[in-house]
Amino acid sequence: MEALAQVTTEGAFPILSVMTFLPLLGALAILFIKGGTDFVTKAAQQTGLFISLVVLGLGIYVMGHFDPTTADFQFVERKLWFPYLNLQYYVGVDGISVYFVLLSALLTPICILASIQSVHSRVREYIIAFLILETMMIGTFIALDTVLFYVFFEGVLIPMFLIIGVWGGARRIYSAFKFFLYTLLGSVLMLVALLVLYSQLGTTSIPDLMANPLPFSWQFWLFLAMFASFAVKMPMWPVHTWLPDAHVEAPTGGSVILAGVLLKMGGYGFLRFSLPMFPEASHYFAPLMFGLSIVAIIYTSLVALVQTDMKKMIAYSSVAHMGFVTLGIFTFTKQGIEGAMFQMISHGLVSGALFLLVGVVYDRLHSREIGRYGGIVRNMPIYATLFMIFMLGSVGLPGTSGFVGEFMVLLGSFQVDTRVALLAGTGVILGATYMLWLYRRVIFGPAENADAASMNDVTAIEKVNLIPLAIMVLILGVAPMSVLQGVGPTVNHLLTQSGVALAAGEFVPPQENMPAGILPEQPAAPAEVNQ
Amino acid sequence: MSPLMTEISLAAPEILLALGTMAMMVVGAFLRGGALKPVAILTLILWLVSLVYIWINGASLEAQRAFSDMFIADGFGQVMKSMIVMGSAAALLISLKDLEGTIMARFEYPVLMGFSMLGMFLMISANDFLALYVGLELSSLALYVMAAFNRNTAKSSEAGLKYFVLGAISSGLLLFGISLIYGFTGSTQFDVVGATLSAASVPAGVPVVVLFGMVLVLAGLAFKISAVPFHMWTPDVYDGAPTSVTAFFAIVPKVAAMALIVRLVMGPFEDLVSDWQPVLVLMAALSMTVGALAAIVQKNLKRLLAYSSIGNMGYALIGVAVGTAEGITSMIVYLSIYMVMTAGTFGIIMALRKSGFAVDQISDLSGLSKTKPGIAYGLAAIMFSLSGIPPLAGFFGKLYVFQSAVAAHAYVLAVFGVITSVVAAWYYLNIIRTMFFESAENLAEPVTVECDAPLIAVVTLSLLFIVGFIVMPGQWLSLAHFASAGLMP
Repeated sequence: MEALAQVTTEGAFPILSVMTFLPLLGALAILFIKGGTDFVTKAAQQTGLFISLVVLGLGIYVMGHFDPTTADFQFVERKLWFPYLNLQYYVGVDGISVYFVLLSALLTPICILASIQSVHSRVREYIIAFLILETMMIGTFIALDTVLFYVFFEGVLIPMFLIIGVWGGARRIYSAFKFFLYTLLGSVLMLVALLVLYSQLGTTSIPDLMANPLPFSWQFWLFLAMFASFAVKMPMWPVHTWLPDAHVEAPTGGSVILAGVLLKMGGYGFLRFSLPMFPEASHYFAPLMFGLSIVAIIYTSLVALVQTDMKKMIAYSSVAHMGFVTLGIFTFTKQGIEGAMFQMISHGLVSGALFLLVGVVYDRLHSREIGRYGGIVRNMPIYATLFMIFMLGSVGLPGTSGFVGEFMVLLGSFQVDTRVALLAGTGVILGATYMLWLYRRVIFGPAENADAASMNDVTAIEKVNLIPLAIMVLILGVAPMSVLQGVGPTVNHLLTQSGVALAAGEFVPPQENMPAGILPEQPAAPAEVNQ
Repeated sequence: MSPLMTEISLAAPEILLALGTMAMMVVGAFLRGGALKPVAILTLILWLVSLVYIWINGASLEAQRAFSDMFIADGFGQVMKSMIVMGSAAALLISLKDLEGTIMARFEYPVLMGFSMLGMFLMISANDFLALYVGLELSSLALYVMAAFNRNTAKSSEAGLKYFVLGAISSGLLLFGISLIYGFTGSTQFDVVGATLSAASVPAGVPVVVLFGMVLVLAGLAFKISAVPFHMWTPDVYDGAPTSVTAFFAIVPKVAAMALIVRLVMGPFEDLVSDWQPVLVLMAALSMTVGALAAIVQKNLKRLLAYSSIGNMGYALIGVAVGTAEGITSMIVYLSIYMVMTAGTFGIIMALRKSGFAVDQISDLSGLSKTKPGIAYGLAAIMFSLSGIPPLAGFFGKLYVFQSAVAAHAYVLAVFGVITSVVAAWYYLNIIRTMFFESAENLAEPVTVECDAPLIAVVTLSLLFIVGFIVMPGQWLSLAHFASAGLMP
């Protein structure tokens, strides 16, 4: 049943486990710091920052030693975890997950750094929550055992619930509950699906499950159960309503992690579970996914347009950008899926940075209302410049990372269905509309509010946080191959695998439900005959 | 060894417990001034010794019968009895401080616990309907008295009386059911009943009167585990009884009653699986639903925990209802984890005092994360665990139960279970919300912490278990597998 050769030999340094559990150890250490409040605050911040930077260093090392020419799982570790049920502690990365691991490792120190200026109550707990969150995030992306994956995937809820609820804004309790229960309801259905997979195939190893899809009658229900979880996490319209609430009420660091990493868990789930394990069902449901993605792109862009709250607007724009991701994934083309991957990474950087930028002015004026600002370019030129880079990245201007992802997704969807590509294209225009308008109202215009116009420019810490992100957005924009070459083999493998499953399976998709050309690999698809 | 000696050695833990507990009564009567502490210590030693005796002949893979086959000793019994000993010990240890200085600081308290435990041992080892009934009544009578232990308050007396009256009705149902089964099979001995029913069920199916009897027996036992629709007594008794007694009620007696249900459906009723399965499935589904929905509106902590226990029994019943060895294992895993979580919860509740009593309103916990952060984080961990969020132990209990349901193709039950667990998460989160997101300023009276070393030890152990289960689950699971392996043919 072994699906893939494992690159790493036994006894090698367990670098992925160290990356995952080092933050947890750091959290434990911070828990036991003794002393006055000021001392504890300082020590907790420094320890947290140090630990997360070490993890980032390890992440860069993993990236550097990652072999981008293969689709195999690398840095694999495997140990028996639960006897009897035969659950494994089984971790490893491939071309899809390694970038998310790096993204998580990158955003955590940024959040901790940002909190030094903006979080002043219960600092120790705040840092601990973020370190535990980092453990859970990295664990989610490296887990190769379904139950292990679920443990990390769901474990994220605990620190995030507390982060929103304790350090959040006025409606934090409502938002925390909504976030928690929405996500939990989706996830538990996924748990049942994972258990069904286990009982049918007798294994919890993700590579084995990927190589052995079940018949379509099973896939149908399992896809829906997993969809419940990933669609909420993504979030896809119409189950996106928790996101604006959670984003608006969460503290800056919480919003950054939510937008930067947690949303990606949905897309990652689709790529890791839905596509390889339920290939026929994924094809079968592709039209539905297209429909939902298009609605998300257009509808939530329009909603974003009328927002008066900056964070809420960026939150809605996230839903629209995630619409591009689901669209790309379900095109089943190389460009589409690679574009979706790229879009996720780019969105992690851009929207994370945008939330940091909102945090910068929020710390000074304690308002997220767009109308409270205006004309701040005179006093804050660096801020305006950085804001412009990320705003353009969000719009998808060529030269920024946002362009590559959206373009590739559009390219992929154009091959499948021109109407879909056309409708998705309007989303790009709408995106430009609301972002540019936001920029004009906040940065330019008459300085109507004296306090807003007299704010200080970005501090050193904020520069340290934002400038590297800006550089990365630009580098990815002009040299996308740096990411795409690592993603490529894994995506190829994914497509071959699901193509093989489609060709080999006895399943013939009910043609009347499929728009023409959805099945590129179907040899005798009589699409024209049916029309 | 003579046959009699063999039989006595099989029942050694029970005999030891019976003699020892009676001796405690005498000791207590001769000591002055309540004498709770010394008797409690002696009782704990006695329980420890009986725990040793349970395992003194090693793990027994073969079931052994004694006393004209009325008594059975097997691996399942060994594990369940050990759970009862540990649960009772935890309940006694956390309640010592609570009882101190009140009218309840009397030596009868541990003695009653001992008798109740003896009854539960006999229930678990019963291989005859009469032995079952005697064990059940012994255990219940002690529990009735304990519910009314704070005899000077109307609430506690009411709880005792309510429990007694309703318990008597359920015993009546049980006895009536037993008589119907006896009427058909001509025996009360499990093996004979099982053989007769099995022979009768093959071509034509057993007569309706036997099914009546079986359902009545199950109803009587469902009362003891407070499964819906026989749960009405639970909130009132939990609320009315002194908190220390509630802790004991919540942790221990359900293990014995659940074990007995397993004994029956895997023993004499084994061939009637298609008849008892719908009954248990229905009870499981109803318990999960009522437990989840009714708890949402509760303001009283003890009532909330009562509904929580109703819901949790529903999950444990899933394991029994699917009727496989995997199911029984999952029930044992679930129940044992639930027991540890309950011990931790009650330990923390009893450490938090308000005007001399353990807190009983959820609002009393307001702002606890600011005033007593350590305790607040501990309780939060237990609440997340109760709502089944990984990586805490409660998740693995649920994982096991749902896995057994899925493996037995009970998909609807599994989906139903996970959805009610989301609903239930709401009220567990509500407790966390009160502690973390609300401030202590509008509390009329500040909450203080009073605890002694045994309580701290129990709570710490339970927290370590909840957080650390994910790291080393092996030993615990092998015990559960051992217990169910002996039970299945």
